[in-house]
Amino acid sequence: MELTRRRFLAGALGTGAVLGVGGASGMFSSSGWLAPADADEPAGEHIACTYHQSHCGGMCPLRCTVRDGRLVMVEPNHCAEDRYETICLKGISEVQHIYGDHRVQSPLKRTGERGANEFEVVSWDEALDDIVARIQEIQAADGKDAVMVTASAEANFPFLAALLGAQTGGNTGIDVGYGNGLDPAIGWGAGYASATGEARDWVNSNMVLTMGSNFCESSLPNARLFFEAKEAGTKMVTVDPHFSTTAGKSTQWVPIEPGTDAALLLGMSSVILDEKLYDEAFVREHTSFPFLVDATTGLLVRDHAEDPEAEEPETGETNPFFVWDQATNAPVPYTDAAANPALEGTFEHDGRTLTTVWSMLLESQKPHTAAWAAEVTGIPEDTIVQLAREYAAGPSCLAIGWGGNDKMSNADVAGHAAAVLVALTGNIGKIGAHVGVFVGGSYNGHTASFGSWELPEELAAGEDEMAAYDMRTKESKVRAWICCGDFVAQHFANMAVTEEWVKTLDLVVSIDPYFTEGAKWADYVLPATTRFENDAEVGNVACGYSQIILQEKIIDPLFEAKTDFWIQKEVAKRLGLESALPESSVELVETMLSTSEEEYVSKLTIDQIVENNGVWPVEGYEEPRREYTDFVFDTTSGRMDVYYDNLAPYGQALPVWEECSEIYADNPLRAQYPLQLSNVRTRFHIHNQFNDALWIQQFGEPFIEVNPTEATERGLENGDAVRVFNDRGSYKCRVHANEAIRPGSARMWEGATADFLEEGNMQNVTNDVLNERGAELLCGPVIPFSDTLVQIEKA
Amino acid sequence: MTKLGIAINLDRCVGCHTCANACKMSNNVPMGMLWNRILTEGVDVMDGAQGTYPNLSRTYLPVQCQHCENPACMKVCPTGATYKDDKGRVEINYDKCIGCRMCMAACPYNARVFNWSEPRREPDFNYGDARVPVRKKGVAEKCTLCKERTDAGELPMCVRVCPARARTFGDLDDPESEISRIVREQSATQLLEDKGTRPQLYYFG
Repeated sequence: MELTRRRFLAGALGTGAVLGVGGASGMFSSSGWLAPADADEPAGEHIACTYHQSHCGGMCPLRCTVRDGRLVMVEPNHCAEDRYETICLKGISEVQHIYGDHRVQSPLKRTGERGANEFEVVSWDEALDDIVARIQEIQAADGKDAVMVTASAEANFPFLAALLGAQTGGNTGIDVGYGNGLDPAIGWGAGYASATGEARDWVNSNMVLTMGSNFCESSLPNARLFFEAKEAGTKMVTVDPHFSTTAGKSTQWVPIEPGTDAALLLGMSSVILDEKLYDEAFVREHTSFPFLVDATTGLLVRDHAEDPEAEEPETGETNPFFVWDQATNAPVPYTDAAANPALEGTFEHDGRTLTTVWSMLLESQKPHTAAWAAEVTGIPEDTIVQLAREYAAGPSCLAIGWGGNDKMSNADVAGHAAAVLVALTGNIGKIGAHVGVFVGGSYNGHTASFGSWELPEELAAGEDEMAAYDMRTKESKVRAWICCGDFVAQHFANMAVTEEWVKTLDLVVSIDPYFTEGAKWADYVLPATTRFENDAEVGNVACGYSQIILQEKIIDPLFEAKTDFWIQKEVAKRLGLESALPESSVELVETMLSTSEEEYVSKLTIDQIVENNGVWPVEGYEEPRREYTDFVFDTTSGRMDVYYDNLAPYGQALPVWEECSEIYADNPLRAQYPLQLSNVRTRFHIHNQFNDALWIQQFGEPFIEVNPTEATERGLENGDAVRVFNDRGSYKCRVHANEAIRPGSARMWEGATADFLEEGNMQNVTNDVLNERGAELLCGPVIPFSDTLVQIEKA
Repeated sequence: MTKLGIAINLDRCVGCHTCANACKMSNNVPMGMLWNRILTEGVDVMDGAQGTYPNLSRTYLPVQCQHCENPACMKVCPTGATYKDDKGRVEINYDKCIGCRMCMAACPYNARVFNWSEPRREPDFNYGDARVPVRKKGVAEKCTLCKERTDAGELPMCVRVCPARARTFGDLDDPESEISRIVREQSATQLLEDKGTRPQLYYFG
């Protein structure tokens, strides 16, 4: 075996960026806090349990060692089975990270221009008194909904928006690309394309076809499931423009032109139709393919017109769809068990031309041949045919992701094309056959439902007038914005537009354990605790990977940080609403357990979970989760509803190929900006989190990767500083020349902000043009972060 | 006799560096050092690939002290600080180490690191397993096969945390052990076999 002895570490450690946060730098030193522990601190060690971050879907159950009041070790907890005893490098890095110099140590108040990053230390009382007074002033003048509260996944502010009657930001535009197209056909996934089964079931698949997901990085704690399947003989195929970690571990890698997932899926469906590889019984009985459509309006034929004022849409039972009964030669409700429905055909009836969804599919698929798909995707036709045949043979899983084509303007078409492919082949609801995003144990495993603390009826969040991303360019009522997490740099593309909007607001508050890019734009920056710090013995309860997990107190709050619960309580006090909230986080957790609709959860006590290492298995965890094994879907008809008549005006009632908005092949802009920029997930970060963790930085800080041919063309060497730019803006970072990157593209870890780059934010260049079809989609338009063209040059 | 070792399944290694960070934590390894590193083989960027797009391959190679049966480091150690213990591990008696770094030059695996100055820790206190001795300026250090943990019947931390379960720890002298079975049945290989060091770390897959 060859051993390459690169001085890997020496190089990586030498390039660490200088940390420091402008005018506030003095407050970010950890030296004072890390002096020897107080003399009265109890000596010795103890163990306590919590869980790690949720936004990778990991929520790893952690067993923590505390010595002299300090966190010194983080290990996987003891669980019901080894597979749930997970951790990754990020969880371990917390031993340094929670003490790191990007922690906000005290409440800060802005002193300079907004965005100038100049702050002074203030007391909690001073900060909260002023924030609440200013909110009350704004609300008195402009209404309660002149305030917006947005909370990211790691934040725990269930009461704040309701206490204030604030808006909550509406649609997010993130991770909903594929789901917008896939989920309406199944009634699962809530727009996030969550998988209909668990990755643990991959061992029972013949094929796992992964598209736009880097499971071995973005679901790192569950990587063993990938290998269990591969070693059991499952063919692991990964479609990705780049030779990702997961592509490298797969049985087959299929390189694809970015933004063309839909073309591949449509081409596969054509092969399946042409070669009659579809599951005809499934198609006839469990999909809407036999349903009749009015050829003139493009609408599905129903018993009667829906009342547009109705609060709930009618079900298939009360307002049936129709099929063409071949026995009586007439349309009959699809619920008529005696009927013999035609799958294909166009019929004249009562002066209307009716045609089946199936016949419309045969028509809409005509241009989507395998040869055409080969042209668009850059995948050889033979490969497309092979993939179609293997996928159709099943049982197969279609494993999609949030990091690839999901961040393109045509993502819903890809999701819809996936729904058609699944409906044709019946690869759903069976052992080893599921579809969706499989990453993250907490998203993918069994869940336990918790009750909640009921607020008085008059305390409710306000109605969202629009999505927060739209407020950047449209008039809204919002004058005050409380950000629990970094929204300014993390949630919207084209950061210059976001900055201009933020400048117009009257009050901006950042609540976060860390001083983020978004914090620079705040008037007040409030220090929150991490998952390891608490003022009570128990802070929260959650559901991780098929485990109920308790957030026990590991250590006391660091610096002047306060828990999310304490902050809400203090705001409530100032509003005269303190009695509406639980006494303590312990009472909150007790209530969440005791009011659960699941009996075994409602009987669980905190003490029982504590005695069981802070974890409790979710009932039924022994078997992999599998939805829809009865083939009754959560759709209007109870079948897979593949025909979206609300999209008929856009020509997308069935999926029809559509180019991306910016990166399309013939875009003249490519002459100036020839590289497509992929924002991808990495094992090193969760979005912007852990950029500042020194134990993560030892492996590398954010860099842009291009193929060596692109580097050579531009006279770039590995490690050179480059300027990445387009008409929207620019930033500077280091470049890596990596053969794994598709020529014509560039790849970069998402969430890279100015403190960790040479200059500027990655978000300065990303595409914020929303698809006009977006308003009709389940979760509104997806922000096409990766539908972005750039050029790079030596900085 | 006992001969402890680790077998690493390279098919399963996803290059995530969790083992490296867990080792750093457990063994109180200072900044600028790791006892356990993940290399991307044959390329000069992390997560690079060999070949030309799209004909590519990639192998992650975790490298730590190989706990050789015939350790090059031990032979050159002038004070006997480096020794082979009764469980077949290569260990360092830090009190005897004079900082000559002959061992570092001799080790063909670049597995050792050196405390050139006072160890700098972030966070600036001793983290990790309290049983692990703290090293001073001027001594060499490296993977101990988590001596303190394995003596107490626990797994080495890199084995315990590996997300892909790529690592198997055990006694190579016990023919019934899982690691012995892997070495027999998986055509496991050793790094730089031609050096004659006879490592007790095996790689397969």
